[in-house]
Amino acid sequence: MPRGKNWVDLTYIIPVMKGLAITLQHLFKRKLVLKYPEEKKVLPPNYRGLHMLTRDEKGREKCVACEMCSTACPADCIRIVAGDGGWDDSREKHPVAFEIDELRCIYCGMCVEACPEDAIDMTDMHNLADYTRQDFIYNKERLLGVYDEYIKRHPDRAKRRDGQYKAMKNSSYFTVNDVHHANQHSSH
Amino acid sequence: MPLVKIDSQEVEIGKNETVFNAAKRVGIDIPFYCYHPGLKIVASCRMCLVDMVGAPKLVPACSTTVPELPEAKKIEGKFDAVIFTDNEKVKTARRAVLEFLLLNHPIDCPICDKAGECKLQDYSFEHGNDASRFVEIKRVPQKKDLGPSIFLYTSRCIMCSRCVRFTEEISGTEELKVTYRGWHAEIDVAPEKPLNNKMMGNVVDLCPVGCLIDKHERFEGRVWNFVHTDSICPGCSKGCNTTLDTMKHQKLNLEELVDQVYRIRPRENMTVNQWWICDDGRYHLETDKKKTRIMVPHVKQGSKLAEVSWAEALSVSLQKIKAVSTKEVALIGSPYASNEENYLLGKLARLLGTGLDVSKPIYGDTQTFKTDKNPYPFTIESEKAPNYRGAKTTLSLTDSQLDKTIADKKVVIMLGSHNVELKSKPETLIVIGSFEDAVTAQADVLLPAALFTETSGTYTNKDGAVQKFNRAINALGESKAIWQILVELASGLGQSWYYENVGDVAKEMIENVNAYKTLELDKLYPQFSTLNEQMVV
Repeated sequence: MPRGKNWVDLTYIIPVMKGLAITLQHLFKRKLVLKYPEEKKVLPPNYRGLHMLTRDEKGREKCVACEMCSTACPADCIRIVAGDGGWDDSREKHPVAFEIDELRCIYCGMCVEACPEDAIDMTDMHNLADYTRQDFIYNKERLLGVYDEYIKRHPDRAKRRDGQYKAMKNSSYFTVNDVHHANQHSSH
Repeated sequence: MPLVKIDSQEVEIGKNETVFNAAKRVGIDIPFYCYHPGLKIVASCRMCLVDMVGAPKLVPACSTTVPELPEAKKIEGKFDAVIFTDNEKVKTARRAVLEFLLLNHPIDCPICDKAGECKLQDYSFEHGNDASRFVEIKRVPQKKDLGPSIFLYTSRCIMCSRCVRFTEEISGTEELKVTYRGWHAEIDVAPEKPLNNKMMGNVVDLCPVGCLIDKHERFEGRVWNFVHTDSICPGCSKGCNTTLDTMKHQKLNLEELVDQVYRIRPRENMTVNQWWICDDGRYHLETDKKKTRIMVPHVKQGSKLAEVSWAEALSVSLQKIKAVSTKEVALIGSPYASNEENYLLGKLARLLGTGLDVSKPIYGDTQTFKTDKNPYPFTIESEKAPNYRGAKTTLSLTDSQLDKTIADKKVVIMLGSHNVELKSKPETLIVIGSFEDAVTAQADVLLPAALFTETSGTYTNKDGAVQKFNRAINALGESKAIWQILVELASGLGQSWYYENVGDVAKEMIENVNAYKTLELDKLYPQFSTLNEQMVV
């Protein structure tokens, strides 16, 4: 005989039964697989998915185009073109263009860590799909759109963000207070 | 000479030498804001305070000199002064100074263009506190428009008064003044008298914080992204030393230019420009942007210039040159081209036996900034070309006699056009130029040449100083360095030249041009093989 010891081994009945027993065990275990897309996993709040550009209380992007995120980015996937906010506008500098290449991004979250204005954050959106590579380069309007969509689904989180921002704004650190003669200087 | 002990080092200090300079000489860095070697010492920032043994309190290093003590009074038997620059007393003082400076500073580094090269940032990081004890409301005065190219972000100012002293001592125009007192002190200009002189850009470099900001460079890019390249200003025959700050935008698929010079800053050279450059040089590339750059080779077809390939443009030029005898050809050098390029042109002319001349530079106004307090008056030269002297030297010519030279010539090759006045147009005019103008419009063949930012070489200034400029960015469009174009033309005319890079040309030039025999190649071209302008002929 080539292998085994007797004819019972050669019929493979015992190994087959063992295998079926394992299958039977799993019928009564907790299910690990979700029926995606009908069922969706609840992701943890610190999940690092698609980026968003948050808005301030006036609905403008909070971003001041300081390029801290693009400097911190190890994948070099953020590009910012800064522009003047205008002489009378309360914000000095703002991004004219803000692009993130979501295909190049490694979702490490360094941009969020680096941002001094809390302007860039990550959402739980991870199921990105599109037809061309170009479509994965998210511009400023799209990233602000992501924020609008995100706060609709997570109003509590938006509130928390606003609370933090207001607390910062109210501290003396950020208070803009003109002195008695500040207004006498107008542009020449 | 008085002997001083600074920290643990013994230094011989000159009679009028300050402690600051002596410490710098032995490699001890003392932080400072208001001190500048080119300006009067005011010792107002108190950042350079050092501990001098025997002095009742800390003394500012930038204004303290050490007198020689009588033998009996010497400290430790031999020193005239013992100075500590880094003990606990000094460190506490620096922390206190920085805390005061930051009281009203907006700390708007994210939107400040100086961030990254700001002394307030650097020293706060190195010597300052990590938190502020200031709980009151910050005073935030508004920004001001000082003139055609400068903004003053009043709230960022630390009152070092370098800019004020610059306008008083160097430019002599005295536009800037300190207004109000104490807590309310601000830099300002008089009403209806904006900061407007040809040297005003220097106050931006002088400002140790982001208070004075250049409108041309505002928000253009963050300074840590810049790559710095040593260069020479081509604006006039003074030959000011400059630094080109360039940035590569190679992120994502851009629609904009990828390689660009963002700013030109002065580079210290005590014999030429000290610490300054004029605004003509500083905004040189802004002026260039207004002109139309020649991006591709052109050949005249009918009455119009048509875009062609390099191969075609070169073959057309060679055809025209070969159609006439070499005596009917003239090669015209340029005061705007480098020594190396003019040398190659001269070499080609001598080998072929053609006519040779140099075009005249454009002449403009001279302006001298002179005050009693400045030992080095700054002059903007009237000769608006960087290399007229060098071109004449390398081509062995005494002066330009352009009309006489080209009078009986049929084919004329010109390096750079720069609006040279041609009395009569030769039968065939081949122009190797960068910008469109009156001469390029007449050209039969137009070969695009790289600018000074896109190639390396040397310029000889009016005083005969041979200075090197380096390639900072890639040549725009299809343009090539003039020396490369000349090598290609020469090879078409039967000369087998081989130069691996422009340093090879320089080496040959130094050997063959008598006036340049004393030049040291290693000093001009220290990175001989990394010039990266290789080509195969």
